[in-house]
Amino acid sequence: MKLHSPQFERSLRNKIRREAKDSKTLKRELKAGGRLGGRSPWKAFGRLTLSAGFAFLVWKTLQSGGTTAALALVTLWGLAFFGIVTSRILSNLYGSADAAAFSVLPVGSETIFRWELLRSLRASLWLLLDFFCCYGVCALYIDSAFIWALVVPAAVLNWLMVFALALLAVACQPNRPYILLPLFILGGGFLLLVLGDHINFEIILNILKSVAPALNLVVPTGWVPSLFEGSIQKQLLTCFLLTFLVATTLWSIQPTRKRLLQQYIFPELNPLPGENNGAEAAGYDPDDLVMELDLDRHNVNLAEIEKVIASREFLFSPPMNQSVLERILWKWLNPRERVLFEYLFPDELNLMARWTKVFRNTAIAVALIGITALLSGRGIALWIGVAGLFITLCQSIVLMNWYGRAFEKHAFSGVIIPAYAAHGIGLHEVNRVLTKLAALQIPFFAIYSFIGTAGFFLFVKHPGVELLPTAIKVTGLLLATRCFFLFFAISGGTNDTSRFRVASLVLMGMVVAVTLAFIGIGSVALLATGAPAWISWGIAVNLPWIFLRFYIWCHNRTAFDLMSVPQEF
Amino acid sequence: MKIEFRGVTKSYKSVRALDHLSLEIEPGQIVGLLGPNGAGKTTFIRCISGIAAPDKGAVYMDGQEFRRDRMDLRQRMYLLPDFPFHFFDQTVLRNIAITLRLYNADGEGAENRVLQLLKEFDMLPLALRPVHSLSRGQSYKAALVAMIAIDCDLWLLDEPFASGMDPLGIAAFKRHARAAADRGRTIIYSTQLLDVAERFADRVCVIHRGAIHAFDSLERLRDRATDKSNVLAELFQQLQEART
Repeated sequence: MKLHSPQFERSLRNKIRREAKDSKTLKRELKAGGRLGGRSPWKAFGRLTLSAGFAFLVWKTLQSGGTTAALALVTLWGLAFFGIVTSRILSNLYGSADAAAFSVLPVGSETIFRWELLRSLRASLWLLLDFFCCYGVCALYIDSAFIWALVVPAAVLNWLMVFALALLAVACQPNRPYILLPLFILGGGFLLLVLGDHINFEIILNILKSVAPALNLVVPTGWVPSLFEGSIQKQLLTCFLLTFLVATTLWSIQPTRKRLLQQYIFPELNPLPGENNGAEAAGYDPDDLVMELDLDRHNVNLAEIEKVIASREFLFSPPMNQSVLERILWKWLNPRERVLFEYLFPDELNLMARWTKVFRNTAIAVALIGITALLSGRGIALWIGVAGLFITLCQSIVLMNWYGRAFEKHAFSGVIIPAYAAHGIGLHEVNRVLTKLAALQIPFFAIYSFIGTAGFFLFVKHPGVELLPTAIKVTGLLLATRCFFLFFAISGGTNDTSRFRVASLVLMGMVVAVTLAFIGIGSVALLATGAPAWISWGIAVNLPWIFLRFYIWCHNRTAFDLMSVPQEF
Repeated sequence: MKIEFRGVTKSYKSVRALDHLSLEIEPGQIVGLLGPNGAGKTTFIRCISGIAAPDKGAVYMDGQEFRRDRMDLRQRMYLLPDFPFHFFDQTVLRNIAITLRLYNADGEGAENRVLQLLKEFDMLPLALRPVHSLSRGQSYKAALVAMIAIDCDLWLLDEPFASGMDPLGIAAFKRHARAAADRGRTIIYSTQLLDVAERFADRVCVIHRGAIHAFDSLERLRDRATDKSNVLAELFQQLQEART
């Protein structure tokens, strides 16, 4: 689908070139414009390297762990990208930067919907390449003409499956934190690769081999890999069942698309709605808005408004239901920080209620593990434990990294700038408020870490003597990751790494080095005992903090722009 | 507030938005920034507000180098972009209140100032409306009310005369800006409207390809111009001729 005529654009481009031919200045400006609009080859190179790296990992797993384990990697890869594709569809459909353009063009909602959906589909084409590489590697390993013939259909089916699942997620559960899936799967995978030598790669491989058959069947992104394996092993019944499941999921694309289209409200009223996309998310009904706009403004009771202003009521935030935590925080903050806190978190925080929810979910997970272990054995209990801990860990990390509206994005003459920069607030001030908020929650987070570590210890039958020190270490390390999250949140609103220059390369190098050092030293802290472990822990906990301080110092020294410059600038 | 640019250079990839730019803006002046599209006007404003980081050189305010953590300096300026930064789901009053509070300007008497300004800008009937239900001009006026109520030392405005404001709003803005300049406030705005800049600026700064083409009072520019009635149009004509 194209909103323009390529033929017309081509002829226009040729005419412009001809026009600029006689003027050196125009030619130079045209060339510069072309360079600005061009896509960075480094991004493509980076993505290709990722595909190749993953294919290599699959190849190594094929050699040492067999086809099922290798296909389990494809399943996990698909699951991670399911999170990415879902997030992208959500942001394209409900928070697209094209909003301003579409709002003034004679384009219907259906066209906008199709356009944004196709944009998401096109962006996921790299995933198709990943699957081609993976199945190609499998075919190369097995080396049979039949398997080679399966590579293309398997890759295409797998890609479509991910897209179909993403569409279903957008239609049925749009408010889940899908972006955490790739963060944990790819981040965890990277961690295991780095730590492979220290924690014995064989153990990881054995775990993967043991869970691979169940994983490929239970996780929907594993159905195509399972079908591929079933075809290799000529398991007709399995193939038939999986074909049915895959076909049903793919069939759902059309009805889901129609359902989404029917509910589609393009957020043209709010060009950059940030996280609260669309009319519904903004908390108002579009019909009410129309009625409101129809009101005769002169019927408004001006005396009433004057009274509100004169009473100074509007200058103060509406009273909130504060739990004990909020009241403690309020006392802890100084007057300026209170102002910023009200700005960052205009709605009720309900910290107590949120942590209660985390602990409730943890308790449910623990109960389920116990019941399943009694009824079905440790295998399934392990999976329930992993899933339960994953969900509750996500919830607790989200609470510890809650930034309110600090890094919401605002448009400013063709670029996007973070909210705090738009409102004349210092990053160090924001950081102080957010740090106090996180510090207040440390006891809850520590209790959660203790429960999680205890669960892990019970499962692996580790001696309980080390429980408390390990829980303390885990809490410290997880809290230190907050610095990375905060760095990425700040960096997302800047152009610190978007330009190919020495400073950007140095910064990227530092991020990689600090991350690797944190992982390495943190692992030593967890695996070693005695003084070396605690010294490593101290270093690992402080390293990200020192890095973040340095980054904020660079920010304050105006080392980079507080704006992300769009490609088309 | 005195503003100084000392050899400020700023590039976006291969495009040089500001090229070794040096100038001084005295307090109590209204400065109109002019220049062709992409000349560097917005970058000029971004550099003062700390959003853009100069590649070389620095911006000085009252003789002190500006840095992002200099909250004492940042609290003395207010940036109003072409599309104001609002919280769209909040009412006009709430938006004004948030801004006043962030600038510590919601003390005694703030309510009277706000009330007066809302009346002047014909925004009183809309005060309790959420910003998302306003037109662009109304939304700009809401931000302008907050800015005037704060009364910072430095007002930075990007294209205020292309903001969709009605003539009543524009007139009120001009009146308040002039009064503020008389009180020693510095007002810098960008515009493409030559006649507006001719009538509403103590000094005009014409930027072209990141460099200052002219920076002077209109009287002096007029003295140098051949066509005395169309000074700025003549300057632009010169720029176009030099380009082609």
